[in-house]
Formats: sequence, structure tokens, C-alpha cells
Amino acid sequence: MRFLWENLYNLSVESNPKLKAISSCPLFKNLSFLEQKWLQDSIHLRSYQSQELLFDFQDMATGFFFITKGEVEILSKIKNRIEPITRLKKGDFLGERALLEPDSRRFNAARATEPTTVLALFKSDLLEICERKPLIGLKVMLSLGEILSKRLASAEKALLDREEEA
Amino acid sequence: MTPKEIRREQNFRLLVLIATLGGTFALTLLIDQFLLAVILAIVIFHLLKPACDFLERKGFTKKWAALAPFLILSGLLVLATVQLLPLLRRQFIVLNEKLPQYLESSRQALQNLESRLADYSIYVDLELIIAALPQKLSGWSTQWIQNIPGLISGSFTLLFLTPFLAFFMLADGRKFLRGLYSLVPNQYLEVFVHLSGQINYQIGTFIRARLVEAFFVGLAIWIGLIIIEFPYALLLGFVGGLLNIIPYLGPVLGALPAIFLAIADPSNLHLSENLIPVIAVYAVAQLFDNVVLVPFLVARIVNLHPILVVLSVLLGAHLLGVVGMIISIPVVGALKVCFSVLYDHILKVRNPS
Repeated sequence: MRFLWENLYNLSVESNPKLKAISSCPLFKNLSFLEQKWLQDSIHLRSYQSQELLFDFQDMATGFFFITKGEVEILSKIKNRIEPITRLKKGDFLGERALLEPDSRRFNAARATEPTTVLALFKSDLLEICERKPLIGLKVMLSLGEILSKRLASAEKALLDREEEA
Repeated sequence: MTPKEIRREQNFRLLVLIATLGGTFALTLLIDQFLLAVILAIVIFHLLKPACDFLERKGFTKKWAALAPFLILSGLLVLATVQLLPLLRRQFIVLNEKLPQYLESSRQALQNLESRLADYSIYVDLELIIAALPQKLSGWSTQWIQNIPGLISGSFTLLFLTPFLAFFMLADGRKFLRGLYSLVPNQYLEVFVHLSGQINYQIGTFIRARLVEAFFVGLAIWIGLIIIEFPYALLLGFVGGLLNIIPYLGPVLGALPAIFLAIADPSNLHLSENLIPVIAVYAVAQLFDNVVLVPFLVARIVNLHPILVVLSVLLGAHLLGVVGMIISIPVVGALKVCFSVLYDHILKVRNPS
């Protein structure tokens, strides 16, 4: 059936990089094809050069980023030294807590290590989606809740493992 | 790419963004009536946006969700014009015909005042005012009539340009904003999106609250004047509601025409017979505004300092006349919101909690 929609509405996912990125993002996995298409206007597709910062320490935190191409390293301040703590690749995402936290700031920095493309969703975009299409907003929120609960569960598991080791 | 090259590219994008915004603003200033049309279109956009969002929630497409409230508002305006314009016109013609009588009775009222003051051994020479009054008033009315062709041609530009711009903002405003975001350097994107969301929300709330407040104050004045059987109730209610948009000065300016009519009414034997009920109507309308409307509607929006209000109104009057007086407060309110949001942001960046 999808090819019919694609032909009728000229919505080929392959020819539309933004739509392709939206359809592969876990935050939008519960959305139908037309809902993902509607979402295009509220999402930003941004390109970063190698060594360009996605965000810096103490920057205003309101955005979620999904990497569709390239690589991003997360930098942290450890004993007054800035060190990379992890590397995120295509299909990974970061900043999901920023969509829910009020007036939060980044305590890490994120920097592209090669030419990178990300899909970005900001808090004000999410609020507008909820206002205009509450069902889409609800589905995005459910996916966000799922992601956060998985993060929490893995953090709990890591803590328990550390306690057991000690 | 080295960090220096990245910074150079970001600076270039920032320059392009500033040039685009500055160029657009300069263009609005250069084209006659364009700035006013843009401001009025922003007012209509924020007025219709909740209805547009509601229709989108109900499954309308973006274009139809923007068009439907527009058509309904236009229909309502046409209906109101058809229904109320003849009444307003009649009241205006009667007022125009009776103006010489009003002038004569106000001259008599001033003479009475002079003789009454003389009873208390206070001698004031009101002859100068009495002599100048008809000349001044007829001068103002002639000037106003002479300005009518200019007002009409200006209104035509506004009449066509404003709805066009407002519809564009409702239907394709987001696309335009996305285009603007693409010019924003990556480094500033998060702040830019956040600030534009905040400013848009605050300005929308401000404009809607002020317009709803003006409507209800006008309605209260109209009903009040009908109850006391005062003439030109609709005209005075309309003027009172419209001028109420100007804080502090507006309520006084709005009440002045009615007070003048109450004093100058030729059928008025005792001053207190008409004047006290008129003042009571305006006082009750203000009480209703401050006790009911302000806490519910306006409390959340920005409050401006009285000095800033007076300066804004004077500047608005100097630049755009009466229209400038009315729109000066929403414009200055919006600017205040922009500055306060930016100031908060800079403060938080400097002093992170």
C-alpha cells in the first residue's frame, strides 16, 4: 500500500532525506507515515563540520539530537580537564532529557568528529506539536518516556553491578 | 576544518542572518504603510492562531485551517459593518448637525462658570477661551475632513495588504521561519529557536488579552450608556473600547468625548443631571476592567512603567497619529518581552545556577 501513498502524494522516503531521518528515529517510531510527513515542518535537519560543536558546556538545553550521518563525541569536565567520555554514531541520539527539564543547562559538550548530519527537535517545537496535533504529541511523548525509562533501568543496573563488584 | 575556519563560517552565516533581518526591516520602513500593515497583520495572526490550531486539531489541512477562521472573521466584519455602520453613521451625522448647538451651550456653560466664580470673588477671564472655542473646534474638524482622502487611500493599501500578510503568516509562517532558521549558525540555533518560541508566545498572549479587554470595556460602556439613555452610545462605546488599549491615558481619553457631550448638551438644565451618570458609567466600566478583566486576562502579561507608556504613546502619535497611539503599547510591550527574555538568557549564561 505504501507505494500507492508515495506515488499519490509524491512522498518517496528515499528522495527526501528529512523524511528518511524521521522514519528511522526512535522518537518517531510510533507515528504513521502521514504523521511523520506532517512532522517535517517541526524538525530541523542540520549539518556540522568536523570539530564543530553541537552544544557547549553551560549552553541552554532544549534540544534532542538524532545522528543520521557521521560521529559525535561527548566531552566532560573531569578534574578541570575536558575529556571525551563516549562516541556516538549514526542511529544514536542525545539530549532527550532536555525536552522535559525546565530551564536546564548542558553539563557536557558534544562535538562532531567528522562531517555529521543530525535531526534536531527542540522543546518549543514539541510544545507546538502538542498544541496543533495532540495525538502526534502524545505518541512522541510515549516514545520519549520509553527511552528515558530504558536509560533509567540501565543506570540502575550499572549501579547495582558496581555495588556487587564492591 | 580548523576551529578558526568553523568560527569564520559561523560569523559569515550570522552576518547573512543580520543582513536579512535588517534588510526586511528597512524594506518595511521604506514602503508606505507597510510597517503598519505588518503590525496589524501580526495582531490578526495572533488573534486567529488559536482558531487555526483548533481546526488543525480537528483534522483540517494547514491551508484550510488558516483560511476558515479568515473567512469567518471577514464574514463577521462584513456583517458587523452592514449592521452597525448605518447606526454609527446616523449617530455621527446627528452629532455633526448638533455640533453648533453643543458649541453654543458649552459657551453658555463657561459663561455661567465665570459668573459663579465671580460670586466667590474669583475673577477668571474665560472670554479668550469662549472666543477661541468655536474657531478651534471648526479648525480641527476642517483639518480632519481635509485628511480624509489621505486616510482613505492609506486605508485601501492597508485593507489589501494586511489580510494578505496575515493569511501568509497563518498558512506559511512556519515555512518562512524554517527558512530563517537555516540561516542561523549551528552554535546559536538552540537559543534562537527557544527565544523565538518564547517571544511568539508572550506577544500572542499580550495581543489577545489586550484586544479581549478592549472589547469587553467597549461593550460595558455601550450597555451602560444605553441604560442611562445617553445619545451616541455605540460610537462612544467603540471609541472608549479602542482607546482603552492605551494604559493609564486610554480610559481618560475614552471618557472625554462623553463628558464633553454631557456638559455641552443643550437640553441639559443642570450639569449634574447628565454628567454624574456618564462619569458613573465610565467608572463602573473601569471597575469591571480592573476587578474582573485585568486579574483574569492581563495579569500574566507585561506591565509597562507609566513613564514608558506616556513616552511610547507620544512617540506613536508623532510617527503614526491616532493609530500610532493605539498600536504603540502592543509594540513597546512586545519589545519589552524580547528584551526581558534575552536579558534573562544572558544573565543565566553568566551566572549558571
